[in-house]
Parts: sequence; C-alpha cells; structure tokens
Amino acid sequence: MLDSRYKHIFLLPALLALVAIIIFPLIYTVRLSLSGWDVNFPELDYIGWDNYARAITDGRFWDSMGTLYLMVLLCVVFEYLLGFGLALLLWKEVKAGRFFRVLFIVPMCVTPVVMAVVWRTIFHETLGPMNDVLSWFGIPGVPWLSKSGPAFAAVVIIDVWQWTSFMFILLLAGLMSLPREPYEAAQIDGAGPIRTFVHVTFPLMAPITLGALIIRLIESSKLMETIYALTSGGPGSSTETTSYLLYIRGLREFQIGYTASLSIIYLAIMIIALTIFARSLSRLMIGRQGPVRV
Amino acid sequence: MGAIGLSGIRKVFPDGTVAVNDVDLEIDDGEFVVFVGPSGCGKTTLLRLISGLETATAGQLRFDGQVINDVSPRERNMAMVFQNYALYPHMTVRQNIAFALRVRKFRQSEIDERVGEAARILDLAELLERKPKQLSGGQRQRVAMGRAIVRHPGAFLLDEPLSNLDAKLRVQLRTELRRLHERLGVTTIHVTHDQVEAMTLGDRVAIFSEGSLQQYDTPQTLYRRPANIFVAGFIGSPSMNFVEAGLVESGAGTTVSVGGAELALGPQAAGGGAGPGGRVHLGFRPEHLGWRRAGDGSPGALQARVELIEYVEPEAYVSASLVDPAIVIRTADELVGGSSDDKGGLAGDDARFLTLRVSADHVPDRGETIDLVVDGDRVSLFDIASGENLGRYA
Repeated sequence: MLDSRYKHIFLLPALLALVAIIIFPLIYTVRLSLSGWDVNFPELDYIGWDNYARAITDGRFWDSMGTLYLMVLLCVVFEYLLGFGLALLLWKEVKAGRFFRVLFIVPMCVTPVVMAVVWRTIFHETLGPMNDVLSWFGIPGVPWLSKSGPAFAAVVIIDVWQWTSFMFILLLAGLMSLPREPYEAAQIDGAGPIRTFVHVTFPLMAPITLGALIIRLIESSKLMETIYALTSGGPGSSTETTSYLLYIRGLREFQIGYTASLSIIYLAIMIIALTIFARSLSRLMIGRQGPVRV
Repeated sequence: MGAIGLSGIRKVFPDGTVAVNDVDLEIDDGEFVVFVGPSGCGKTTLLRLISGLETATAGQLRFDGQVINDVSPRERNMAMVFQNYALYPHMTVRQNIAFALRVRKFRQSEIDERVGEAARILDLAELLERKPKQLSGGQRQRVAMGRAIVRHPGAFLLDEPLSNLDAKLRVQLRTELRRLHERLGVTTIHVTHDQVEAMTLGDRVAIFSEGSLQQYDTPQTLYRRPANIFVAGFIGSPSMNFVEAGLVESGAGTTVSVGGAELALGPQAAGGGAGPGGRVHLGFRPEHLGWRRAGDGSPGALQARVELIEYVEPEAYVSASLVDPAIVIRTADELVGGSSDDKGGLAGDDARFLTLRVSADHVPDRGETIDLVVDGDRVSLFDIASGENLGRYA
C-alpha cells in the first residue's frame, strides 16, 4: 500500500531520534553492565553476569534503596498534604491570592545545589537560625547534620520545601478546572463543606492527584543534588540514596561496568515498583471496583 | 404543600447587570410552570434564586407560605435537575440517587426502598451499578431526575434538562416528564428556551425578556391573547405577522385601515384607549391569514405576490410580499428592538413578507399574485409606542 509506505517514511526521522536519545544509551548501559570496565581496565570486555551477582550481595546498595524509598515516601506524602492544603486555601478568592500563588512557586525555581548550601547554613548546629528558633520554644539544639535521624529529616525538609510548590501548582490548576455543577448539586442535596470535600472535591481531583503523585515519585526517586551538597550521604550512609551511591561507584571509584549493572537493577525495580504503586493508587482513588455499598 | 410565591424579586450582579427585574409570580401547589424566554432573559437566574443558589438583591420568596430568602438550599426542600445533569462522575447511578438521602442520614432500608422506587418509576433498575460515563444522554437525564424524586421534595426545579438531547429523545422525554408530573403531583418549575417545550409541558407559562416577566398565563392564552408584541412574536412558529394600521373606529365595532383596505375586527381586538385616527400595529397569526386567487374582488383583501413556499408536510408556509408599497410590514424583532431583517433576510431590507400557514394540498404558485384575507376575529392590536396589546383587557 502506497499510504502505508509513506507513513513509515514520515515516521522514520522521529524513530531515529528516539533510538539515538533513548534506546541507544539504554542498550549501551546493558552492554556496559556485562563488562568489567573500571579504572584499571577501561575496556568493553565481556564478563557475563558477574556484576549482577555482585550487586545482589551488595548490602550498601540495598540499604541505599531502603533509604531512598523511605525518603521518597515521606517527601511525597508531606508535599501532597501541604500542596493540597495550600491549593485549597488559594482556590477560592483570597486577598492577594495572586501574590501568594507566585510566592509559593519561587522555591521550585531555585537550583537544588544552591538551596542545599543555604539550608546547610540554616541547619548549622551552633550558627544556624533553625536551632535558634527551636531554642525559643525550649527545644535543645538538634545536631541536624551530624546524626543520622536529624540528617535524614533535614533532607526531607529541604525536598518538601522545594517541591511542595510543584504539587501546589498542579493541584490548584486541577481545582480551578473542576466543574461548578457537582458543587451546586451537593449544595442542593444538603452536603456540608466536609462532606462536599470528601464526596465531591477529593474524588473529582483523583485523576489529577494521581498524575501529580506519580510525577513527584519519579522525580523524588532521583534525589541526588541535595544529598551531594548537604550531607554527602552521611553521617555514615544514613542519607545515602541509590542515585548518590551510583554517583560514588561510577564517578568517584570509576567502577563503570558494575555501576551500569546497579543502574539496570535500580531501573527495573523502579519500573516495577512505580507500576504497582500507580495501579494500586489508581484502583484506590478512581477505580473502586467491586460491589458498591451505598 | 409546594406553593411558590415571588414578590418584587430583583437580582443585580456585582458588575451592575440586572438579571431579574421586579418579578411577581404565584405558583400553585402541584402546578407545572415553565419559564421561557431567549438566552440571557433571566429565567435560569430566577430558578437559581428560588433554589437558593443565588441570593435575591430585593424582594420576597415564599414557599408553602414561609419566607425563604434566608433559608439555605439544603433546607428549602426543593430538588433541582441541572442542564448538564451534574451527576457525580465517580459514583454509580445508585450512589448518585442515594447521595441526598445519605447526607440526610436516612436508614439504609429506607434508602434502598426509595432508590428502588425511583429506579422503577424511571426504568433505571438495570443501570444502578453503572457510572454516569457509561450512560447515554437520555439515561443520565433520568438519573438526574431520579436523584430529584428520591427526596420526595416539595418542588422540582428543572434547568433546561432536555436541551442537551437530540430532537427525537427530547420529544420522548418531554412526554415522560409530563407523565411523571401527573403521577407525582409535585410543583414543578421547568426552565427552557424552547417554546414548543413550554407550550406542551406547562400548566402555565411565564415568558421573560431582559429580566422582566412579560406574561404569565396558560399556553392557550399566551398564543391567543399575547400581552404584548414580544410575547406575540416569541410564541408561535412561524412568528405572528405585524403590519402598521390606522384605527377607523374603536370600541365595539373596531375597524382598521391597512393601506387601502378596511378590516372589521372582532370584539377581542377592541382598541383599548386608542381613539379613531390613531396608529396601531395589527398582528395576526400565519394560520389566520387566508388567500384567494387575484381578481375575486374580495372587499378588505390585501393584494400580494407569492415569493416563497416552504413545505412542512402536511402544511406549507407561504411567504408573500404586499403589492401596495404604502403598507409597512414589521417583524417582532425590530418592534422589540432586535434585528430587523428576520423576514426580509432573503431579499434584503426592502423585501418584507407576510407568512401564511396553509394546507400543503392547496398552495398558490410561486410568483402568483393573490388576495390575502385577514380573519378579523383572530387579530390583535398593539400600541405603537409601548407594544402592549390594546384589546387584551378590553
């Protein structure tokens, strides 16, 4: 068929670009992961599945994965709650609403490394303002960056501070696009504000919420710059995320082949985890399958 | 229970737009009233004022004899069906219908019973577990109706519920709506811009223009004795014909002159306050205009040329231009301040036609010159300045 042939010719440039940008690096990483390329032997030899076998028994890698998941979960949950709260506040006409909308977007526009440096000053144990403020309430100084728990919390706080605005923008846009009629119907039906939120706003926002959560989950799981500038994964390895470990293995220790295998495992786990998560969340928020009770 | 009263209701929006202007209206218990008018006439705003979704700037709203201006929509005991149905998209049909009952904390057995009853009345039993997106327009409309009737409200407020449906379904659901009203006997206000819907559904019809109530009466009275030129032009399709005429005699034996012809009018067209020699607008429906072959020598006939014939079996609409250039044909739109070339649109501003509704079996030929005979017992006289019907209250 003439039409079919032309179709493929026209698609070819886009397909080639796709292969060059996405497929080739991916395939090359897989090939690298089967090699022993490191600082001593920088060549694309073939060592089979050795790197993968080593990764399976690499406790530090799995620890970093655990740290990452806990961090991502906390970050995204707080960002969602705060972002949705702020969006609900600024959804209806509020005095100086436009000013606040712009203000809330500012953190998102700042470079993560710059912000991490600023926050390192804020969290400084003796000179930082954070402990000063806590002392007003009689709370003793917190060793923000020198103890595991506080350091972990510091990373979460910075991420939440920076990316809540992203949730806020998406959710506010969603709220502003909601139809007016279901609200009027709820008013006539006699629903108060809480019931209207639970039975109208929240379900109507579910598709947008789902999209926002998934985007943030993907983004947060690449958390690296803040950790690099703030804690360098420490104290110990308490804030070491998988991305940061990959950076250490690949660009500090130059274990290129091994790092490639870690990347592939990390990618596979992320795809599986996010797919399961997105499906469960979708079923929970939108699908609600099964027998319906009124 | 269910009588609704409006006294001096006025709604001015913050930008200064007067949406509803001094409306007085009484709706009896169990009555089916239709609010009709062109877009932007304030009919939907008035319905929203009655529902409580909007607050009146001035005036008094009563329901069952109680003033309800400050009563919340929830406590008004009225159910509303929205133009696009406003179903909750994430809920099943059953949940949609039951929502108002759940909010009011009804017992589960009572909810099941009422939902079952509504589903039976509206033939929704098969659809109860479906979501709105899985339903057709007609089915969604029925669900919206079910959501309203399940509450056993004192009044139904229907905001153009049929306007999103195709013509065939609209006719079908119109009948269902009327049957449902007869079965439930609940006071119903139905808003529409479709005059056919208004005339077929309403016990009484309220016609609005630019926020003001023009006439509130039975469909028959609206058609036969319109209060003013707006109502005369709005009700009826094709629209009423209007020509300028001079009053020769007023009172019991009213006679008017149209060009060189004199027409003796029936008692319903008595000239009101206008005296002999005054100018009026003479209005007559297309079906009250007869025709004969030219040369009959009919006294009081208007000579006209057939310009266009539209067949709408079993009838035909004949557009004819008057031979006497001194006779001024007017359109309802230009008389009430709208566009002026509704009838003369085909051939420019100079060509103005009278429309006849005749049997499709007996039509004149296109281009033929004919005599038009106005049925003097079925005409209305309107004041030139105010547009009010001069004979209506004579």
